[in-house]
Amino acid sequence: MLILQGEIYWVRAKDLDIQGSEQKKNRPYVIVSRSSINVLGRNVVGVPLTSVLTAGGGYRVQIPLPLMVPNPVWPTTTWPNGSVRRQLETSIALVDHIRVLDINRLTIPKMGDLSSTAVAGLELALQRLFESPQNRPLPVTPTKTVQ
Amino acid sequence: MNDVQLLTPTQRSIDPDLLPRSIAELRPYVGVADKEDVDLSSQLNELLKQLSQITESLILATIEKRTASDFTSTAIKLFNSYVRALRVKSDFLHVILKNDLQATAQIVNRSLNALEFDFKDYGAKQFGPALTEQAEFTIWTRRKTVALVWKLFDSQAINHTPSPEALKLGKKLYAEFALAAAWSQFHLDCLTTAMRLKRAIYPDVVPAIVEGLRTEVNAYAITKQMIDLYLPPAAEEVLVPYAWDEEDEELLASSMQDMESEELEEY
Repeated sequence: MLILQGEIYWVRAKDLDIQGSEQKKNRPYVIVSRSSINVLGRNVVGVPLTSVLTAGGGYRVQIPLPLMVPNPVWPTTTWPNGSVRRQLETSIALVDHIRVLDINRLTIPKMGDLSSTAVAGLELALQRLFESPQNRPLPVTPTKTVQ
Repeated sequence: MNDVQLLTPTQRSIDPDLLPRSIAELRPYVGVADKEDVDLSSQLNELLKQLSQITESLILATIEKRTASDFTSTAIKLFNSYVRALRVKSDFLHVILKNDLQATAQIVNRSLNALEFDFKDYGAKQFGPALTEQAEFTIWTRRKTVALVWKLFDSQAINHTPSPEALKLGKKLYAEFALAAAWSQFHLDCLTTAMRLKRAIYPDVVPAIVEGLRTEVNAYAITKQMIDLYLPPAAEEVLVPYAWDEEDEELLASSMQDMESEELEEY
């Protein structure tokens, strides 16, 4: 399965939870790992989204709906158990909850894509999260190449 | 909150003669704040000071507004004059520094450092943590944007002869970049001026300033598009698939178990 960077998938918290019974734990994730790496294994790296806009702050960026491109084939019907199937909306990217995802937990089709501006915003937030410490000099070891 | 938002005045709010027509003309929009310390003769210093006073008067006329709509409409009304002042100041420094890009880069860096320190020292006290955080994120993003624009100034990009289609797209991107970067700079200047002159920012105006600061992310995104347009991308390395082993399996399973037990806000 070809999973591309910047795509948004609904991710099931429990394997085989196609009924959506763990609705509360299920949520959309933006794929942030490079597409060329995603094809290599069974895992991808994603950042969860929440529509609770008060959850922002720190490294968390808000992604307004106009900066997302919803997938027209993402169903608008309810899940098989009757619960509401959520659609994309203005969200906060919980960058600090970035995680490895089993590609089998991704619900097909994708919910949509981020626009280039939103990807840039997310990239900035991730850079900020992983930037080397500014105030603490890192220990220096004898020169060795990191492989 | 560091929001990504697309909110700029329309392109009509910048006079066409102010829009950049080449990469070299992007320089005024990666700005030099009023805090730079170029060693100039007193006459030149005086000229630069007068220019700064003009910018300051535009900013003051805007931050004295008490409602977000008044603030934004004044900002849009004065924006052309502000951009004109930015361009004059940049051209002036360009001549003084004899087109020395390295010296210009040093001034911009020093100016960004000074801004960062100002916000760290006085921001939270004057504007509260949320607005200060947005301003710090904007300055941090500006640093990233400047680094990319400097890459564009690289001779390879400036001497590059793009196709007519790329040239057309480039001009559109220059205009969008100028708008986003100058709009964000204007709002940053509102805060620095308020900080320097100890002026209050009215609470109703804060959301409008936050919206304005957010356009720095747009400037960064547009710069990335320009990089893609003008600098040939490095060939993507061929990655060799690794053998998936038990340890990989365990790590993936443990990440998924974490997800099952994680307590995040419901989407």
